[in-house]
Amino acid sequence: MSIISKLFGKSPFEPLYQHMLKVKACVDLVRPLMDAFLKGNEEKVKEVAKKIFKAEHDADIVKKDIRSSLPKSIFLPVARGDILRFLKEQDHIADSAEDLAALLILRKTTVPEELKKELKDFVDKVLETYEAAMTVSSEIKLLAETSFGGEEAHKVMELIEQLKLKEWEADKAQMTAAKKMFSIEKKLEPVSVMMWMRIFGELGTLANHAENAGDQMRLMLHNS
Amino acid sequence: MDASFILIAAVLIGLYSAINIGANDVANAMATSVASGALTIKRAVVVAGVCDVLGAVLVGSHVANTIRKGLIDPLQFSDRQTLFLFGMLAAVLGSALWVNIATYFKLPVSTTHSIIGGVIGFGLISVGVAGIKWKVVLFVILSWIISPVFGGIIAFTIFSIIKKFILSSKEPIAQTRKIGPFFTGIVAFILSLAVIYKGLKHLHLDLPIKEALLISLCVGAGGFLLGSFLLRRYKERNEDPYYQVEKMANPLQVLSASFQAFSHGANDVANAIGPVAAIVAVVQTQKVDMQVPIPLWLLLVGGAGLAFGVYTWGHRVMETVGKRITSITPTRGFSAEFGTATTVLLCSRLGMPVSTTHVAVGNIIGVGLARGISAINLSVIKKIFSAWIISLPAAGLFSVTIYFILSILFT
Repeated sequence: MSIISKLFGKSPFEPLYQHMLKVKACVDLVRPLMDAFLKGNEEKVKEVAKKIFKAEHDADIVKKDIRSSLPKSIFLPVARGDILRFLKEQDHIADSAEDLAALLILRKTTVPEELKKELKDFVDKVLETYEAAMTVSSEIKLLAETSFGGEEAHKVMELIEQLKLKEWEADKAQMTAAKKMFSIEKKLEPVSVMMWMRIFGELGTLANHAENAGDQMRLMLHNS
Repeated sequence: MDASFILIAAVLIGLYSAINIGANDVANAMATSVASGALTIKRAVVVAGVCDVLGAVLVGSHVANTIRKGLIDPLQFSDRQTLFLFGMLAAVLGSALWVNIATYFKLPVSTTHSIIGGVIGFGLISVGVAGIKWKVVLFVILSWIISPVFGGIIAFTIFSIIKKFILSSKEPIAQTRKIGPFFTGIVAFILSLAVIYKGLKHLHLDLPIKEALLISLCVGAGGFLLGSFLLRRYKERNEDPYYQVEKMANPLQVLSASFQAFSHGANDVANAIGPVAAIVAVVQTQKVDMQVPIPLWLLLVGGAGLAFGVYTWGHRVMETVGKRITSITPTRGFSAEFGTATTVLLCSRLGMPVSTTHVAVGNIIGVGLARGISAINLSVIKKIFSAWIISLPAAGLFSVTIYFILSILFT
């Protein structure tokens, strides 16, 4: 066997792209999940939640594969730690979707009419943030091709700026939704208030991980 | 033992080595072009075979001279020619045996290191420590360390240029059209200079530096025009420009792969025919006079052996190597091959027997350091280093053993 072919390790960038697709397959289900939740369709919520659990598990498998194919003796065009931390953040997006789905099937929580608009807005903002993160992640193969610099890196940098803007909007929407919830706190059961705090928290965390993934990607770029 | 018998045996063993070298090493040069789809395996085999023979015939004599008379002064054997013949036969046979055994145990050994080990081995046992030209040995060993680093620096620089002017630009395709021809021009210039400056006397290619430079500049200009023509022929598609740049770089990579095959022929043919050349010189002149040039037919035999190895086995090696290295794209392949070929050719002209494979490894790491390669397995370097350390004494030991057996049997 030729020594030259042994010199080439397995590129982590195509698998990172595949991991992004798996995360996407999982988090894309958050929209139908929240739609069913808003409509109070308990059956549908359970059904979508199951799909989310399965999809999150699929993403985990790809994550483990990437980790095990990156021993310390592999020399990469970007710091190994940056790749692993990016992978972790990208995976956390799917984890948050899973935790959110788990919360929704844990206890039957109905959405009060007064809260519907704010919750919808908040979900929209969170999912916009997530989609912006996926747009950033989908550039990984082209970044590897241009060795993480130049015009392509510049483009990705701009995408990351947009992502950060979305996350900021999601934060604002979270505040608005939480305020609204407390404004009707007298009408709500105490346990419901606790559940709302956790649901909001989980949605916010999803947006945060999306932003963190972008930040980690930024560390890989070389003309920053 | 009859001298002509030794000659025939040596030529056959040399041919066998050449076939082995052709089968295994040439694939390294062409596999990247096969992997990137720039060449089909059939075409790669033809191109590699032809370039290897050309390199061997046109530039191969320099390194062969080092092996036949650079390490041990043959004049020490003027009163015992037979021992010298036995010694050179033992060196070529011993190193061939060692390479075969090492390959069986999957050790990444270099034929270059083995043949040098073989020659030094028999020298130590026949004329002793003082009979060996240690200065040359030292230079050769230094060249094994310096050549991969030197090549790596070239590859790093070339890829950095590609990155800065093409991959980082707003118009990568237009930039490729502008920059690409310079690369083809430089390749043509270096190739032509290496061949015609004080080149092979048989072919009347021994021009002085001024004329050689002038002609090489003209050839280089021709290469520039050819590159410019090839790159202009490319029609833009509705696809991401960076991927199109890789497609445009396909002809560049074929060129650099051919360049690498040429350099490989120039350097590695000596591993097969260097000791044989020493034997031929003694048998032909009936004395140990080393002033005669290496006969053209011997270079042709070596080249033909390399080509035969490529034709028979090379395609299999290319297939397996090509499948595993799909991660290397034409721009990366060009950078690494250009650095490898230039370094190996330079060493060939200086008469330094270097390991083409090790230089290639150095160059790939060079491109990696310029952030061009997605993943490089650095643990391979440890294996290469240990195989290289063990090759010298091991091949030497084989050579010494065969030398003893021959001298006991036939004197």
